[in-house]
Amino acid sequence: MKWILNLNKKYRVPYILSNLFLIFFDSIGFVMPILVGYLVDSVTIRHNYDSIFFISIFMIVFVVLKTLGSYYSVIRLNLVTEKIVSELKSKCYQNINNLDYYFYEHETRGELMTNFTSDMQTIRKQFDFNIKTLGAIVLTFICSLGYLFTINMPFTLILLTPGVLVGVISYRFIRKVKPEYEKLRNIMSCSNDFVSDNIEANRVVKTFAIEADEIKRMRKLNKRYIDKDVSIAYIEDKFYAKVDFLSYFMSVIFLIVGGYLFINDNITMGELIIFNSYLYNLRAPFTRLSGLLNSMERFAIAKQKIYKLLTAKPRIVLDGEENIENLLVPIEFKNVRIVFDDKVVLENLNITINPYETIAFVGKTGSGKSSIVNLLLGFIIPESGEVLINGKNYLNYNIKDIRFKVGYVTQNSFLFSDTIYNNIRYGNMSVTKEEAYKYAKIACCDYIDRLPKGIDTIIGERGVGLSGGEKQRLSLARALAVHPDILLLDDITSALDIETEEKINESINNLDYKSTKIIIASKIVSVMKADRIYVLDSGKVVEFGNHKELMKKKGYYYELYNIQKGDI
Amino acid sequence: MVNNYKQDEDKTKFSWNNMARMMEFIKPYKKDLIVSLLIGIFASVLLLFMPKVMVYAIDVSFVNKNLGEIVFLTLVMLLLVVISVSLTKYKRDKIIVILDKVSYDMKMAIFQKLQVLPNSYFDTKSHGKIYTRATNYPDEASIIICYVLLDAILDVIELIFVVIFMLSTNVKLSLISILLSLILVSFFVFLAPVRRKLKQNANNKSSNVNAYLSESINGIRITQSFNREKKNESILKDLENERIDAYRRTWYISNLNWSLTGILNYVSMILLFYIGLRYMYPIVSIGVIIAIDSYSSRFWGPIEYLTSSYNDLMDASNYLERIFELLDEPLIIMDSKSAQNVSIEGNIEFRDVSFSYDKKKMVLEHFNLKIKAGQKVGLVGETGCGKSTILSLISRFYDIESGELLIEGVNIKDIKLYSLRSQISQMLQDNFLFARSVYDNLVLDKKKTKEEVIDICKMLDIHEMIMSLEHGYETVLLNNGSNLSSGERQLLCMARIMVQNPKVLILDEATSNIDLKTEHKLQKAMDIITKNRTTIMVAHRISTIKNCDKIVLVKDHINYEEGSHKELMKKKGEYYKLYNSQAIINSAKE
Repeated sequence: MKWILNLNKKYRVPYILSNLFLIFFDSIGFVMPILVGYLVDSVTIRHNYDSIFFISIFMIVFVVLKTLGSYYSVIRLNLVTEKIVSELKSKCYQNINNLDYYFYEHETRGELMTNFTSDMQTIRKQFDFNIKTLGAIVLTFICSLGYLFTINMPFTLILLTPGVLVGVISYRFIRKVKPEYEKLRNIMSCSNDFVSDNIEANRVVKTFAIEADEIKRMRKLNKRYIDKDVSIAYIEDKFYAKVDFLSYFMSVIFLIVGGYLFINDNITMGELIIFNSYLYNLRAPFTRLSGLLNSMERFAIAKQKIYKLLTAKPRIVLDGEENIENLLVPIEFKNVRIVFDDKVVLENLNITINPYETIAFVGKTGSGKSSIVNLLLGFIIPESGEVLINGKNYLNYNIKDIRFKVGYVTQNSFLFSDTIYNNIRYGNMSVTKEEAYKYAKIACCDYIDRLPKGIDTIIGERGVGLSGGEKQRLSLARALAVHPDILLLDDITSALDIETEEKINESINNLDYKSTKIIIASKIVSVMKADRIYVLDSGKVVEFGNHKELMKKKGYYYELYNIQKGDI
Repeated sequence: MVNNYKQDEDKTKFSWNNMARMMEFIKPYKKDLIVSLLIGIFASVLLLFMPKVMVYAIDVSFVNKNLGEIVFLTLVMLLLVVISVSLTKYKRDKIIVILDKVSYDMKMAIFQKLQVLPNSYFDTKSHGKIYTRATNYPDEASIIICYVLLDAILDVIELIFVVIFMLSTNVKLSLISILLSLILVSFFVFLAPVRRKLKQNANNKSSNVNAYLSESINGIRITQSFNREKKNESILKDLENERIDAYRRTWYISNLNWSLTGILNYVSMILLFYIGLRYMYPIVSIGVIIAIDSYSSRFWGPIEYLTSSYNDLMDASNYLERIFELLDEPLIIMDSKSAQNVSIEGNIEFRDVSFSYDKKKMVLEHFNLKIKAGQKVGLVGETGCGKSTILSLISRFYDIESGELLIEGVNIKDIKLYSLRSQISQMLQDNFLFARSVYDNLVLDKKKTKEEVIDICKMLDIHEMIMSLEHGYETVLLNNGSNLSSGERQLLCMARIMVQNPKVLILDEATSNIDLKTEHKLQKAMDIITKNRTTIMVAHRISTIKNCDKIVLVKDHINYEEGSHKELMKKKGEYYKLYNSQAIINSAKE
């Protein structure tokens, strides 16, 4: 818990204070019976009727103030807890924003959503409920215990013997149930993941008419969840029953031992009556504690998961000291070798990219083209060899600076559920509406004019409602809006028709700023104009040169070209 | 209207109807619920005897120093404890099962509904919000309903007993507590709508946060490449602050519950002593006043629980309304009563079809097209001209506005959806690979042997790619196959369609991410597969569809030109122009 509190130190003191206040205001209630006793005495013994009014008024004022105090402290506590959890959420969010490929390849969306929703919920409960309850329980227990000790220590100790047993079975219960809670949470995460996938895949499910199969799978997962939940509940209930029994057993001990002591004149009637009235205070902590245990154990699991998320480190840390302001400098790949998931993706890569050049990469599916994109954006780094920017290894630079200067148009154009304008200025918030419109026009997003609200139209998640080509062009406009030094086009022509592609190419060449262009393509038409074309096969450059040179070589490129030519 | 993370969902109205509908979920477990209720009552009654035994022991047996009686009473006590503890355990076990089943039923109902909801639902609603409804709300609602309902009934019973005891002791003095509690209850009833509104607002804000998180996680790569992390963090912070603010407003009211009850509890006690001692003592004895006092403290406990139960119930109603809202979402596309199974060969006819997504911007107007079984048909036209829409209509993802769409001469609305879609398979632009093994992704719900699947993969030349994955065909794909390249994903989706072996094959830009060399291989495989199979395809490149039996050029909402490649070239119309422009661009590049 401590590390969560320490995330932002400014919440530490308010959190502890509001807990203390709450316990204080709750515990001053013990004055009330004393005041009532005084009231009764003043009438029956002192026959002082006049003071009743004042005492009553005083008591009412006291109660109102006490309750206001508690009311205020509870709201304070809730608020500071929410802030602590919110801080934790923000920090986690910050961290996942920095995590790389290696993390996202192995983490599912459902698991992350479970982290952000139910794990956070469990942590919140620990902070705003468990701790104060625990505090109150311990406080009343210790006070009652201290008081009873002063009256009759041996009897108190005998009464407490079941408490020791409660401790033992609690320990055993925790050891047994903790792994079960973790399993339950993981099953929940699985089923959440399944639901999230199903929502994402709603069209595919319909296309293949596999609704019935999906429902069957969901039923199975759901069944697994409730089976586990019920089996855990059985363990819990058994534990509660044992604790209940032991705590009530104190009354049994009270009767038989108390009776024995009284008969042997080791305890007075008055003391017995006090013990009887405090028996509840001695017993209740055990039952309430057993109820708290399960939610505290759940907290322990949630805490672990969140801690893991918060401390997950990107495998690639590119936080070089040096700033780079301009990517319009020579970029060189020197003997670069990339290994991903134990597979060699690129090998022996030697490439030079000069400012304002248009460089293209072509190759088969799986030839390693996309890895070049990832390499350039620092999503993966070379295992050996180096990438030199202006003669210096790019690991010396801050990756954010590099990304800032690259306008990346993705293969599967992911758009956000927001207005078209906000999507265009996603990477550059300073873009005005007019400019955004201009970039949209350059990217041939003419369809914007046909939309009901034009550039202010909100598009659905992942740009649903737009066709593949329309999305692609919007993601191009988004990249143009950042005024990149390097325009990185990752197979963008796939969803475009040839005329549009041609129009786009022309308008890109007439941009009001100049940039280096890197084109990744599977189709030769898109790359023929490039200054240099690198042909990739199974992670190696097999040929390079401009279109003419490559055609002369009559190699792989020539072969590709001919296949395509026959098709046009 | 698209709902995204910035927009709150519409407020719903409270109706007791929803509570009544909730009962539908509980109904199957009515018997168990009643049994556990009775057991609960019995167990708490048993526990009431414990103080009595104690008092008797202290007052009589102890005073008489009767050890035998003390031992006997101890045994009685032990028996009471054992019975009540085991009954309580039994009750708890029963309730958790009921609770889990109710939540299970609710989740399944929602999930089943999600399977039949039209595309437009998913197109316009934030997926994060749908997700929250399908996963969190059923749990929240069922926990509240099951526990609250049971506890409330127990509280009411206890209250009735206490009131009876109190009234039988002294009517006038009892009235103090009863009147005060009536004021309190009416205050809460009066406050309920305010609380409800605030709580709904808070739920909306929290749902916005989830929507934003879910979208952020999906778009993480874009965020990173555009250096948007800082901005997004501040957006999340703002959303969180809005959420906390909304919750804070609910706390002012939800905490009134225990504080007001606490104050009134003490006030009634003080009034009791004040009135009792000032005006009624000594006609009414101190003993009576103290007795009423002890009853009234047992009276306010259940009152506090009941008011908080009432609040919880209101919270549950908020969740339930969202759940029912989803369950009541109109099914635009569903089987009609007269829907039948049709054996589809591929005779498809659009007769004077008009369609628009929003009733404003027409996509198709008086569109006509006839496709014969076994034909290969290609659709061309500018992006956004409606090619994909035509494909969607054939699978009945949307219903047409006017005209008729006939499949095997049967109106598409009279064909069972399952029958239709299991025989017509689409290769979508936005494909999706499920989080399961490659093999399971390929077979889906069909029964195919591994050999058949491998044969198809070999034909598509992806067998080796699959085998190079960590566990071959058993490799579990995560996050829509994020560890594959788009080309590989597309090839897998292609293999999936072939494994499905549909009667009609619909390909929407099926090969866009596949390089030409592979595509060429693919084309050969496709030729085998599309042989004798009705195929409808959309492509940007005329090359892909040149060999189709029929080519349809869509323009101005109609089938502008139609015919084979040769016929259309002879016509020297739009198609001719398109073909030449592509050829010119091509040669210009050389």
